[in-house]
Amino acid sequence: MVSADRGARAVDHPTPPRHVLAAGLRLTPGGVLVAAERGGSLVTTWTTPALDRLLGVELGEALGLDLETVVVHPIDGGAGDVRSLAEVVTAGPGQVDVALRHGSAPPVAVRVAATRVEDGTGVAWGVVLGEIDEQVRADARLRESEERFRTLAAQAPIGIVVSDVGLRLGFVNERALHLWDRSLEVMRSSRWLEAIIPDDREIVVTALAGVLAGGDADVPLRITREDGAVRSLRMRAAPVTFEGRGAGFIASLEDTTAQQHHEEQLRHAALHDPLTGLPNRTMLDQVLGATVAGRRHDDAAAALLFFDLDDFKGVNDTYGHTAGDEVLVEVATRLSRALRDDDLLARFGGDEFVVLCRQVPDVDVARAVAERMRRQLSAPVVVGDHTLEVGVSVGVAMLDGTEDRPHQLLRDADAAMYLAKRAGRGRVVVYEEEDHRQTARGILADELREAIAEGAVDLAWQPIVRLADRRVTAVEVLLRWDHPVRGPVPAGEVLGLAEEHDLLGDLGASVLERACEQMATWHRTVPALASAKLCVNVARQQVQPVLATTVAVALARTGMASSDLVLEVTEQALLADPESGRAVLARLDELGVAIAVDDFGAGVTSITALRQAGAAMVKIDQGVISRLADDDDDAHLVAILADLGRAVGATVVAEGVETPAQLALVVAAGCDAAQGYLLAQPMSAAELEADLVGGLS
Amino acid sequence: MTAPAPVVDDILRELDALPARSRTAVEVLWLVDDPRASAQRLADTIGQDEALTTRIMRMANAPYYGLSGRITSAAFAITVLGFDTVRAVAASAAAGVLEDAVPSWMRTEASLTAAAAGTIAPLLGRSASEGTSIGLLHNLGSMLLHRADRAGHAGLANQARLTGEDLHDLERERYGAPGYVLAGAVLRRWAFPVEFVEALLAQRDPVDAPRSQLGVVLLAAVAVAEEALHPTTDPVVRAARLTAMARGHVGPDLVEHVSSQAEGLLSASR
Repeated sequence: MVSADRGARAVDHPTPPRHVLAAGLRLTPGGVLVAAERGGSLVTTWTTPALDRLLGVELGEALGLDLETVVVHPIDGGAGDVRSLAEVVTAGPGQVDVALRHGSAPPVAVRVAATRVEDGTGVAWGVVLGEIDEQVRADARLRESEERFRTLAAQAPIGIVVSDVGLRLGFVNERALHLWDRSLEVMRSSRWLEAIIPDDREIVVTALAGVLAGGDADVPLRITREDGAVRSLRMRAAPVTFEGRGAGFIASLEDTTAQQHHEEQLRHAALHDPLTGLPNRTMLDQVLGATVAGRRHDDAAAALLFFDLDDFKGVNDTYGHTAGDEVLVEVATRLSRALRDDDLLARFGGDEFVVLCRQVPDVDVARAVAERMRRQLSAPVVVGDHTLEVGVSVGVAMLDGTEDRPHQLLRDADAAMYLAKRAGRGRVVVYEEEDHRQTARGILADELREAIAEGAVDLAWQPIVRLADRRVTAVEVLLRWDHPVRGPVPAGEVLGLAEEHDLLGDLGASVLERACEQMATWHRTVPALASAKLCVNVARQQVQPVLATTVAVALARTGMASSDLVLEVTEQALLADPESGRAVLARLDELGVAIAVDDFGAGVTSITALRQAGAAMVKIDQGVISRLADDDDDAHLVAILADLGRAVGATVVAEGVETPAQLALVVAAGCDAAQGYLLAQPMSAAELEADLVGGLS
Repeated sequence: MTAPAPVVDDILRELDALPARSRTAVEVLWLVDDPRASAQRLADTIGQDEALTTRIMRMANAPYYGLSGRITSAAFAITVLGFDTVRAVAASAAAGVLEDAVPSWMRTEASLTAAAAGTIAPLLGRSASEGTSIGLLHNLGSMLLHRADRAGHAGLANQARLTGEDLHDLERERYGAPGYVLAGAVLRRWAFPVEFVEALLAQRDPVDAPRSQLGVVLLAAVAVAEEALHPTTDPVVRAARLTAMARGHVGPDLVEHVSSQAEGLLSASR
């Protein structure tokens, strides 16, 4: 504990007696000397033992030494800039770190402090030479290293800032100063943060607080420059912490304004239509999805209005696409003007526009809004020298529950618009589910009729493989209708639709004739199919006297041999009207066409009917086959069905074989042939040809 | 005016007696010099003194450090402030000038000088924490004199304000030593670094006198604070201030910025 008396003496700064001072100085670890001018030289007049040791001379030999003979040079700077100790001492007050060398002694790093004293007897210098330990040298190296960093950072092409403590910047390079557009005084405080826009400032400060605690940060931020311009930057920061010196950070600042602008443009382009500048279909999907997902039970209803210009193709064809584009831009402008505050207008594609009304009390308001917009569009559009009448058909779908799905809504609005077109164009139709179902089915039937006429109903082919040698002995033709809007329509629905709308005859004839034509071609061109039979399904309703005529015509037109055609008839068809059916089968038999009993085993099989049908082939129902391997009873059933088939002299085919186990059981049951996904899936004609070249797996 | 010279001795005796309320602060003073001391260990010690903890936290959350509201632990506060600044706050606490009746202008002066010195120090290769520290303590002696002789010292301050005389000269005349010499004695016995004490003692030397970098930092910071508190039109005084600032690599622009940043350092009241 320091006493109060000693403390008081320190305050008074008393000067101790001269001999006490001299004794104390002799004990100090650093060399001390007093020098005076003697004949133009600076010569030591008083020295301490430590000085002798530093200079590498015998005790007392440093006294009377000419300081010109002691050489000094920079500590880590090699031999350059060599001076004498006399120069250093007389250069002025202050301290300097040097390497000291005298005679052949090794150099010693010392800190030289000199002071000039003038009294009545003349001028003298008091000099203290403190030996520099490794820590001091390390500090010197560190300072040099820091200096190098500062030089490098000052010229760096990216912004660099260094905080010494907290978020106060101690170093700001030129680039950072330029980016920030603030004075150095502002930057060298915590006020540099004020340039960051408030939304980002909180994020930056939080991120940097994390850096001060030892983490890293990589944050985007925006600043407002003095001139008001907003710039986007990216800041990457890492801690610069020396225990006890305060926590700081070093950060790089990259100007990402141009990049952000470019990305913003790309984002905008991805979500907007370049012609009209309106949101595009992608953005509509996003907004509609969010609207639907965010709905609650007590929310007001929303409506989707689907606009399609009437005969826009005519405008393009007559006046050219440039004129067409002008019309689209004008339509977009007029619809935009008619929007309410919360509505969203999007260009859905081509001449289709969609308005999402997020707040409508009921369907009447939605209809009124749609009608008002339709009228806005009905005013003539002037394009160049032409005045064009632009009509529009509008479909409206309501979003009033929480179960609705965005794509279903779009389909409903589109369907209602389609009804508006069919009803005479230039009108608004609101989607009503039941009405629409009926109408839509009528529309679908019309489209099926067109597809049949245009040959747009596709055929798919599935090989039937003989089990003995795995060769393709027959190919079953299947129906496929890929609707341009709805996508693939199941074959059962196509047949039901065709039956409802009396299209079955046309459909059957079309399929039969095209299939015969394809098979006739294959007989000539594909060796593997040279003797293959063609299996064509015949619906129960088709088993009519006219069937024989249809078949005869198809065979005659295509030139395919009747013996290569197998008509597949279900058990139910045979049993439905045995009398009539027998007559039809007899007529087909006369033509030389074979009959296959389809779905054999699925219903009540009459051996008599089987025999009367003169079936050349029985196809065991795939439902029976699919249960194989699960149930021993079904394995027995397959064996019995196969025996029945053979008993009437028919080839037995197993349908729907999907697994190797099923195939093994089918072989064991004595079936002659099989078809199913394990052997070959239904495929296009081209795929089948390719597969046959490559070999069916 | 009577010159009660014993005041200085009384002050030193009182500080040596280590009043119980300052025990934690004095413990901190010794701990910051321990090379094994960590921010957490310091925080554990400071945590024993609620007022000191509050002071450290409030300081780290001051606008000066740009982290308002983000410092939620004493250890983090110490990490951010640096040991030098913590030592300065502890010294102020140990000397009893934080919560006692020291005039607010003295604390404002300390805050402004600290804010300026913390800005200037890195420009001269010193840590901001060192700068803040010496700024906070530069007028500790005057605070102590005021605390010990409230009416007498207030009279000196008033006289200095009215006549333009140097307060330190008046202090020397009344107490036998000016405040900064007293502060030097106090901080020396609390084992503050020699360079720190010498810089403190040299603050009234001529501007062009040789001094350490920390001395240059303090001189420039005092000039900034004086210009902020008492703007002058006297060309000689102004020239001296600008010269001091120039040696610290700053200009009069710093005056305004320091004024807006100093709040919450030492000037914030309880």
